[in-house]
Amino acid sequence: MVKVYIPRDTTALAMGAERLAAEMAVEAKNRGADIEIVRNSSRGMFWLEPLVEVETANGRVAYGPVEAKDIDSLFDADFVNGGLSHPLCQGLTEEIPYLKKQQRLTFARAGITDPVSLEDYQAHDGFKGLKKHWKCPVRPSLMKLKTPACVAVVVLPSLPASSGRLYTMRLHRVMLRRNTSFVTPTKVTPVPSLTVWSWKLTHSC
Amino acid sequence: MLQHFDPNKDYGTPARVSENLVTLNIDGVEVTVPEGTSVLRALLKRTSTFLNCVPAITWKHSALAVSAQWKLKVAAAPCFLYHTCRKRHVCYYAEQQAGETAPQHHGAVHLRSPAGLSDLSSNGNCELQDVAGAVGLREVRYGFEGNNHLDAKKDESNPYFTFDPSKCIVCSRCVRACEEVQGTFALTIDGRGFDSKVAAGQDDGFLASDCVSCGACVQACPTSTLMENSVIERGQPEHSVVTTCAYCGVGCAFKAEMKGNEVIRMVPFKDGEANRGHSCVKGRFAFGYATHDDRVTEPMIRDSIDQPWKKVSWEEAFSFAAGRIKDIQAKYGRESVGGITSSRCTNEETYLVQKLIRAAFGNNNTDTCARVCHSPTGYGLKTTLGESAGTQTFDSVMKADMVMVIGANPTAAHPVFGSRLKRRVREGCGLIIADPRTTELVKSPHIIADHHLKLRPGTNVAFINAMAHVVITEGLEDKEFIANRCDNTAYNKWREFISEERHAPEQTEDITGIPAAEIRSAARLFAAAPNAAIFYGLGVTEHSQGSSMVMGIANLALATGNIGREGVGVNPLRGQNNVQGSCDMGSFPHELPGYQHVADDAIRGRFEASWGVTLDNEPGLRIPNMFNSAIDGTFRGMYCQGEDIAQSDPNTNHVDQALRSLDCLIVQDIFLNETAKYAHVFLPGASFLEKDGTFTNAERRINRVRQVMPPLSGMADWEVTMALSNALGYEMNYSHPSEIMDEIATLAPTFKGVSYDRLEELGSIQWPCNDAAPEGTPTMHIENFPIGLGNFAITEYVATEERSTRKFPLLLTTGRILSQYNVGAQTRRTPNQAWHDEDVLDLHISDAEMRGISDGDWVGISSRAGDTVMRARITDKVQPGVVYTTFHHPGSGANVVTTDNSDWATNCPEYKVTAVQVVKVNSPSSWQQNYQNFDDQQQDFLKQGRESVSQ
Amino acid sequence: MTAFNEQSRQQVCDIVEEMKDLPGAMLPILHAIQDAQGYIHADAVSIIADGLAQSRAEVHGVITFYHHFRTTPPGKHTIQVCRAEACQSMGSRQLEAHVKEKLGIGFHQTSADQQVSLEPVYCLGNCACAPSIQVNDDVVGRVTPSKFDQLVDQLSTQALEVK
Repeated sequence: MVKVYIPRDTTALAMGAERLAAEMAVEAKNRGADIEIVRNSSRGMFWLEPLVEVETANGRVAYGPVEAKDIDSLFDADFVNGGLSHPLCQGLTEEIPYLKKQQRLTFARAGITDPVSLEDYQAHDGFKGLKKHWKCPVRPSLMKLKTPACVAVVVLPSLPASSGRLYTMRLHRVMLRRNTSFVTPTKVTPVPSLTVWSWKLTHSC
Repeated sequence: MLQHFDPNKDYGTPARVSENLVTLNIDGVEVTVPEGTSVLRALLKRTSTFLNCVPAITWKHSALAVSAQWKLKVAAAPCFLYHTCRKRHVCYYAEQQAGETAPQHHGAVHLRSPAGLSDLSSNGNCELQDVAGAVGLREVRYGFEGNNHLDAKKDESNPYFTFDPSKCIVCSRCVRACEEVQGTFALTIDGRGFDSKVAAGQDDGFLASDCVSCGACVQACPTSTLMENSVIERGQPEHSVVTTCAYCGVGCAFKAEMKGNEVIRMVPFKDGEANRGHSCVKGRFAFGYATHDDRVTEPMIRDSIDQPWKKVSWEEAFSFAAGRIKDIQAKYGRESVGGITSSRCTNEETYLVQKLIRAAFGNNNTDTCARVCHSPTGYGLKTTLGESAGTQTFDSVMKADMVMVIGANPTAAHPVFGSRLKRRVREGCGLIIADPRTTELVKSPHIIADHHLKLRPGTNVAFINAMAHVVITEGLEDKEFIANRCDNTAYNKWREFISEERHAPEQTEDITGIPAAEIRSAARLFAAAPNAAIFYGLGVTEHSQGSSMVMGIANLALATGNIGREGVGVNPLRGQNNVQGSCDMGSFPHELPGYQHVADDAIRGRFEASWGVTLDNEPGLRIPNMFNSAIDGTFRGMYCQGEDIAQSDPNTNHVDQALRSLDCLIVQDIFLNETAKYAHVFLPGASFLEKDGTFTNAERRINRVRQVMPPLSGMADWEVTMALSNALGYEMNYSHPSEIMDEIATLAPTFKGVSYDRLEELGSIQWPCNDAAPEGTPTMHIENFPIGLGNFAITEYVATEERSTRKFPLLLTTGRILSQYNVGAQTRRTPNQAWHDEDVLDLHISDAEMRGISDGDWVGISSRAGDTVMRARITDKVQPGVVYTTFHHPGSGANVVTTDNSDWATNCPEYKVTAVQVVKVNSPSSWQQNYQNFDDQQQDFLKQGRESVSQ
Repeated sequence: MTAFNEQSRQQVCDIVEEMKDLPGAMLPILHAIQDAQGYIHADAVSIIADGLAQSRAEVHGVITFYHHFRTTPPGKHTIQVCRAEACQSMGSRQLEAHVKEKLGIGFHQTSADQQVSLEPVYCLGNCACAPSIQVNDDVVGRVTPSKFDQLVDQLSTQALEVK
């Protein structure tokens, strides 16, 4: 299985990435090519979007800007194996001068990870800061108050049970101030190491 | 802290009071101001006119508060104030240079004005123009081409002012005035950038918006964008007189701006201690009635009320009236005549009328319209606190932490105070409303009351007892205050009474309809507040238990220690401009001026010595007694000054019968009002613009009323009373109202220090003003009560006899609205009609549906007293089972329905509770048809009288 | 123009009720209403004002301040043409003229068949691929007149596919 990256950020979408990804999947099936399309974020070279990348033993090979009409010729040029003969081929992504010159900090992982895979995220140092935070003798804090109807809290299994109670009391005070109360939380476990408690809130008058 | 300032100057922001002072160095001159003062205000203290200083077009900058670091900034740094706007791009750059040199203004003023500044002409009434002139701005840098707003359409929907957006610089002053001063939030800036403009409501025009036409925006406008129509039509005023408004009991000070003898506009006076520069639609704009064609300016007489009027000379009118009164007294006795003093006239005029009755008529048959509004206040507060008046100033509300408003709707009936209260609530003060109706204070922009105690009409006393019960049984009372300041015997008796289980909110829930938990919560909030104030209105007094309720309120204030300092107190919101004064002046049958009982020989002796007559030592007749005696035939003559008892008093049919029974009714008024239609002698009265004297407002503040134009009839009201007295044979001889005030000062101890000279000196005086308090008494009962210790009164709840039955299942309650005033004699003769041109009956949707009534239907309202017809309005502002109407239009006959039930102590009518039935109808009631015929006939008699030749 | 019927009123009431206790609730409420109904009806203003204890004027001021909020119902599709610097430098003015001609309407207008509303917008954050437009929720980059015509044709074809 070969990983093929097609970005899903604003510019890539504005240049037709959605249709490209769909048609490429169909064409791959037709040709019996074993590929997995990963929708990543942009590498930041917007003039090349949609920038299609293929994972090879030497690193990712880039093609861009790719339109749906280029799909056939890409397969013909064996892009699945990183074929370099296609006119849109930009060579190894990391070697593109614009990117090569850069030292990336905040955007270090942008375009590299699969944004919807927590495993991939953790494999690239994800949750490192959070884990450090939980190790500190600090009580759990409100992670997210995303909508007025829901609040989610992340609780690590290593924490003592009493911290959960304390936490509930604290949350209750916050909610009271906002004139809301909450019903029994539902437990969601997206990652084995983390427990997320999600409260559905109801407004009370 | 009294701070003197020039009230004619616009300081942009209100004065601040702070113990911390900040000293600024402005151009080498040290200026010291309280912390929190705006930079602009501080600068204005330094210069005689702001034109020499920093242009003050935007409040945004002027509202910046002074703190210590401003010392530096204002003194050394250049001070920038600039304002950008879309069609005129005006940048001011005024540089303040510190040190020895005078301030220099650099002409870096850009103007992009297609019209040019000269076109902003409002002839000296435009700050923008003034500033441009001061900084030497002459050229129009950006020419006349390009985008502009010159074609923007004028909004002339408001009857009193015009909004001309083509002149607007979008400085937002009007928006801020509406929000911060008035608290209505009716204006906004619509759009952004070049397209931005001032809009009322959802840009649907001023009249359709929430605008209450208070005029604050017009006053704040620095250009001629918002301008009074009267100024547009008649030009800028030339001179001005400061006087006092004659509408409600707030007593706003106004500058009447004149051109010759014509009032061009009324501008709220910034130095007015009651209104602090604010106004409402009535005082600000509705003064046109004073010169209305309906004014009757010549005396008229007739033998009987089914005859046309005859115009006569003043002398003939006096001798005719005096002759009739003397004949009646000769035939039916000294007690067969009486009079009614006016709460609309000055203290001096009122004093003379009661003096005429007591001295010339020789009896105590004097009463006043306070009988039908705040007489229970007088009785209740005198019993508990020892003085028949409110305890605070209006300013005091700005120090309250919790305000409880009971049976009052200040945003409609006392709008200027209402705005002040709303401002305090926006600052964080708590608010408890006890009212059967949902008033504006319950919920309006940026105001949400902590509690709306929706009690059933007529259950006030049960409610206040429940509040007190919670305070006492939960131990929330102020024990120290009670021990030191109150009569402990009375307290212990009351404590025992109020602690009884039957007063618990859980027990009274079924009576009042207020959930027990809500009362408990409200009582705890009230008791816990450091400063808790009570303001109440006619919803307290106009009940069969009005006096009990007033005492109940005083009990609660005493028990929680909320008396005797700023921010607390018991504050009646009095209805009419001088209703406090008319009570002070001895209008009641049992009290001589200064609330001194007629039965007290020593007091009476002083009056007898001063007046040179022997006075009756028995209290005389109250208004309802006069009506009953008239129908019995023992009361046959009445002198009624400036009051319309035929429309305002309850049970109109009864009043009609009484007035028809009189042999001589002398009416002194500015119009041929409803009462005058029953009169035999009509003496033309003077409007407040023609008066010279004093009014006393709800905070006991004696304000000067200065003559703005000469009386249209040629005689002031006090001169008319004096001449009538002289014709009756009792000599009065005053040459100026100040002499009358001097006489009052010698007789009423609380007025001892009051004189016109002192009033000129101090601006206004809150009585008591005597040797102990030479500058008056803003807050009462600070150290002790006039009766020594505060007195708790037992207030047993007794249900009114007026209750809903199968025949009359609904409870009618009456009240006022913002744009009309009382019987409407004045406001109906102004463009205020645009807001309210008929009285309507408010009823809840469930009551309407049950009766098949839809919005706008004609409905018949009947009670055991009578019936009338008006249009229905379906609303959720009243609760099911309660209907509400106003009494501003005589033809609607609201008082035909009200009954003559009244307060047990003072006979104040129970206007607020009448059991009624409401049904859908399609024709006016028979009363209305009769009224219409009578009115047509009397108008015809007036017309004939006016056309008759004076003999 | 669609009427503000009982259902829309109820929807506005529900949105206000649900969100009014949020800190700074006005904007979230306005967004929620526009997302649900396509625009903010004049009659919704008093409901919002009442819920937030503010005045109609204040709500009106906020709605008119933000160009994003509409007070009239939009067409079935909304097309926004970017007029910011990058797009202008890449020929958005010419594109704008073409768009207006093709649709037969100006900015802030809706085509007679109620299919398309045209709005200006100031930067879609897609400067690298200017000129940009947005069709409903989708940004489209490097738009040429012919690419635009194609897009519009697609829209009208979709419109015919009545489901």
